[in-house]
Amino acid sequence: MNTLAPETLAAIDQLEAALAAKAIPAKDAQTCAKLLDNLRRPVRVGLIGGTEAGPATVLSMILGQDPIPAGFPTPTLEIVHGASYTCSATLGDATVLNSEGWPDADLMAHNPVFIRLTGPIEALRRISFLHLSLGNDYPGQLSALNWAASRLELTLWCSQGFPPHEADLWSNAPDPMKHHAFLVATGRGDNPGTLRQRVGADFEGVFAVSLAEHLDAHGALDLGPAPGLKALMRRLNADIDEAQLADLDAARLFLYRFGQSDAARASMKPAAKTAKAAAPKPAAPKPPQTAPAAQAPALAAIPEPPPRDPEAVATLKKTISEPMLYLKRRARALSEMLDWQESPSGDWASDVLEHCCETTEVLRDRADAWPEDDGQADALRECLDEAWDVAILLQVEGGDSQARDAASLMLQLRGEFERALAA
Amino acid sequence: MTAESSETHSAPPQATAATARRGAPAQTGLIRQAYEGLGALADRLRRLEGALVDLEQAGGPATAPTTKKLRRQIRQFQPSVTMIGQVKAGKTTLVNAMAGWPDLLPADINPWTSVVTSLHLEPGLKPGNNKAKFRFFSEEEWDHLLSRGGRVGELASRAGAEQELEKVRAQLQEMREKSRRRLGNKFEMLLGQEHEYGYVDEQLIQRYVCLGDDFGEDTPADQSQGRFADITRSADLLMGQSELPMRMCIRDTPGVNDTFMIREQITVNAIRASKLCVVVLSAHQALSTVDMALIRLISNIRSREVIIFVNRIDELTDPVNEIPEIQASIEATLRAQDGPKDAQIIFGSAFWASHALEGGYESLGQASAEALLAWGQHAIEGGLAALSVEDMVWTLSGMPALCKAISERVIAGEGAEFEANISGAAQNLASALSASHSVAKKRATGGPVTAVAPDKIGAEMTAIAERHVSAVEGKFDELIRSLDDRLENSRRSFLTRATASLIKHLEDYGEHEVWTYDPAGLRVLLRSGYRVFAAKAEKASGAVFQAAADEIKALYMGAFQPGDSEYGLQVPVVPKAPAPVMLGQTIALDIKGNWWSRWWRKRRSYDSFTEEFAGMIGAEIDPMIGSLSCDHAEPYLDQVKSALTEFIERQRASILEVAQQTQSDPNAASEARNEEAEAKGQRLAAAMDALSEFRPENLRSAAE
Repeated sequence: MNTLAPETLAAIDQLEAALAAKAIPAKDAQTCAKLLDNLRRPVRVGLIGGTEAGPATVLSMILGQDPIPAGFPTPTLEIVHGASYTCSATLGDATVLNSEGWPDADLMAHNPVFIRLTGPIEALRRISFLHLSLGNDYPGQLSALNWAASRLELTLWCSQGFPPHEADLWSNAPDPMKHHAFLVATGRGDNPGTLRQRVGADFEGVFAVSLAEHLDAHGALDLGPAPGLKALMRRLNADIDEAQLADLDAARLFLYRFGQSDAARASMKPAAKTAKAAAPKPAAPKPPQTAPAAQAPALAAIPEPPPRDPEAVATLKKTISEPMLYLKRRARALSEMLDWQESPSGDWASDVLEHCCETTEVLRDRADAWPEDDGQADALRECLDEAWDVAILLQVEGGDSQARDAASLMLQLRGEFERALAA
Repeated sequence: MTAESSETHSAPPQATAATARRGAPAQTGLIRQAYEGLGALADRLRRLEGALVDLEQAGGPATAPTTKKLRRQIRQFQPSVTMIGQVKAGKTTLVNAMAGWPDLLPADINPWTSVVTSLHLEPGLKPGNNKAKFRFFSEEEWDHLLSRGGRVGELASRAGAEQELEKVRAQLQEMREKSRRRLGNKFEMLLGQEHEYGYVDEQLIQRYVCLGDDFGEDTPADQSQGRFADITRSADLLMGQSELPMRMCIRDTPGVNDTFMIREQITVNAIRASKLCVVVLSAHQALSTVDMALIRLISNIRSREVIIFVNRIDELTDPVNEIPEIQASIEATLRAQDGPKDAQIIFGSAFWASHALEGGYESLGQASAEALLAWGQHAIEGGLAALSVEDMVWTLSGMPALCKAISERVIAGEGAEFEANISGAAQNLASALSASHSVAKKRATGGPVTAVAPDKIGAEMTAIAERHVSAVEGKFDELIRSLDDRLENSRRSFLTRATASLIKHLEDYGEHEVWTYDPAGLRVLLRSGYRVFAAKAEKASGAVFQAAADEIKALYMGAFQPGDSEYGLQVPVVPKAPAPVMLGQTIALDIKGNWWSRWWRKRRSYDSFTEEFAGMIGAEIDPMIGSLSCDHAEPYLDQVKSALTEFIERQRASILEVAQQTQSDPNAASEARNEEAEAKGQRLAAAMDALSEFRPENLRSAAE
């Protein structure tokens, strides 16, 4: 689960092919390039905080290895996927030192201000990291945040007790950074519950991660990631899954609109079964030669949800297979409708919106009759309620982009059904 | 001052020729004909009352309170229809025509007034027994209007539109000063009071309902003209209309598009209190987006509870061609705005109706007469040629069609529900009496009767009541919780979409274009959430009612072993959940005024604005969401509980009476008593015979 899914890879191929074949009008090529970028690029996660809060330690715990040899402060550090372990260190005088392997004590003795590492770690295809240690002066902190803001999709703000001066700094941080941020409390006495109340809507979640476990474990191998860290990683992975699905849906919809090829049509078809079969086992990264012995890395250690009762699965399948058929039928009708956008007659957007509202409404009505005590059915029902809400609001808004949103909403709905059936 | 006091006046101060004429409407036969559909309902209710009289005679003292109460309910039953509409749609003329009484209410009501006028028409009322009651605003309502400027004031202050708020305040201040000049020092003392009169005449109505012209303020005439109209909240006029088959109430509401939106709230309440609504539109401004407020209000009521009357077709130059166009346009608007699409639409002219009622056509005017002829020509081709002139004009006025539609809705809706309630209670009473009689008979003839202790069976009834009331409470608790969840989700979805739309607007157009966002979607979501709740709550209540009836029946069978005599128990009718009319009330997002733009231009960054926006919309929609729970779902629970409790209490009284019978002294039987029992048995048989037509299974077969 820590790498790109086959359907994502397939979508990338198709987008690339479409772009290369010039099958896409110029005005939409830009959108296509952006979609490709979204699909290819791993989610960029920032670890930000004062040195005492240990953003570097948290990073080590996530990676399961220390990127910087012990005893040296961690500078601003970027870690991305690459074919081999390399290091590119920028010194205070703008000199750049490139080397194989990750940094050793000799390199660190030059006091680099910025280090970029690559590694053949599969998980890095999905997430890349930026570590940012904040200095002590306020203007410096602010400019560091501004610099980082455009380089991140997700921020982990590491802190001990989130004191007032940090809260103040955070309130002045660039807005995009605040849109998706978690507070990682590393202080000994930090209570996530209390912190959650205090920071309220500033962060999407608060997780307590004990640095002590890492420090204690230093040298003593295989202690495994701390429980708070596990919870954090689970959440990160879930968010990333969701974001990637949304990207994938957008890409498929785009492909469908422009690539009239069979391949594109096929991509509208459910891919869940093949995906399941082809999904690679989570692979533990191989430890690099130059790095210290690895601990159990958090990246590969996300527990899968417990297997579900086969009987419950069978019941659910029985419940939702008919609505699923309906949804598929409606999807075919919708895909025909989507072709007509360029046709001058008729009101394309309002037809699409009407169709989507009707689909969600019918499904919602069926969901009413589903059993009350099945958690999975409940989740789907809630999902249908929400989809209907959004479809109605989109319809009232009206317009082409709303119609496209509604269509991708249908695709997401279909994805939800498929996941429920495949589980 | 909160205590309500009332003044009663028994006779008009000076009886003029005009007021004398007003004792009763002229008899034309037109009204009788128009509402003749209601006659069947009236007959049925009369038969029901007859059966109750028989039951009263057949039963003992334990039966009388129930029969008396049911009979009183029948006598007081008064289906009502609420008229809402555009300000210039000729609503008042129409109301007068519907009452068969042209010029009853003054048609030129100043749009400032906010009086709800209820005409209570009673067929049996003797001329001279008319009554009028006027209620003034309470201190609290008046304060709300004046100090906060009503809804508009609230909206303006929330949006930070100080200038608009200032304007509203100034207007209100002026209004208060005028009222003070008119009413003198007594003004504040009048708030919260009621004035009652033992007559109805034009001057009286003028004084309370119709605001006089401003220039007349200091003249003596103003003493009577519109003196109180500023502060009158409601007017109830009780009058005779001998042509009506049964009592009826026609409720006239103020127009909804007033400056301070206080009337909107008044209209919302009036619609909620009524089971049938007539929306009055004017033929030349049929239904446009200008009437959004009106459409919003009616879209929360079921289609079958709405009739649309398009008035003033007399002013159309080419009615034959224009009417179908208007109809199509209204239907299109209702469809587009999520209004009651299937509502019946009737065209007509209250002006023509007045002439038909008065029997004179000299004052019709050239244009109106031409329209009438054109429309008449068209109708004659449709087969109206055989009618007399009066009947023809009356028919063309749309009045018979409107009254017929009203009669049908009353019979199928309010009337059917009322009848089912009363006849169910009467049948249960009859069953219990018949059981009681058979126990008495058995004892008299020395048959085996197990004595049943009233305390014991009473305690079991109490247990049944407690169990089922708490079952209803538990079910509602669960349903209200899931309603709250649902509404919260809708609220979130809406806020997310609206906020996203705003950011997009700012990105695309910058800050100098006015941003609007239609809250219609939110209303659809909230309405749907509430409807799901209402349907589930009605169903769950029905199940509990049935279970309670089953248990009572089992208790009864176990205690009295009635043998072959059948003990049928009618399950009471579940009350209907209140319609969420207030969802239609105007909120800040509906107002596309420019204060919005000024408000949001003041803000700094898009994001900080977004938060405030979310906060403001939250504040706007939260009362609406809260109201669904507090003012609809929870009172509905009380309604259901009281229907259930009343049902169980009635059965308790019946069962206790039978229990008494099992313990009565059999030796007390005498010749005279036997005769009395015989007579009672006959009355009961008569009642049961009469009631059989109301049994659900017979109602069904009659309908088929």
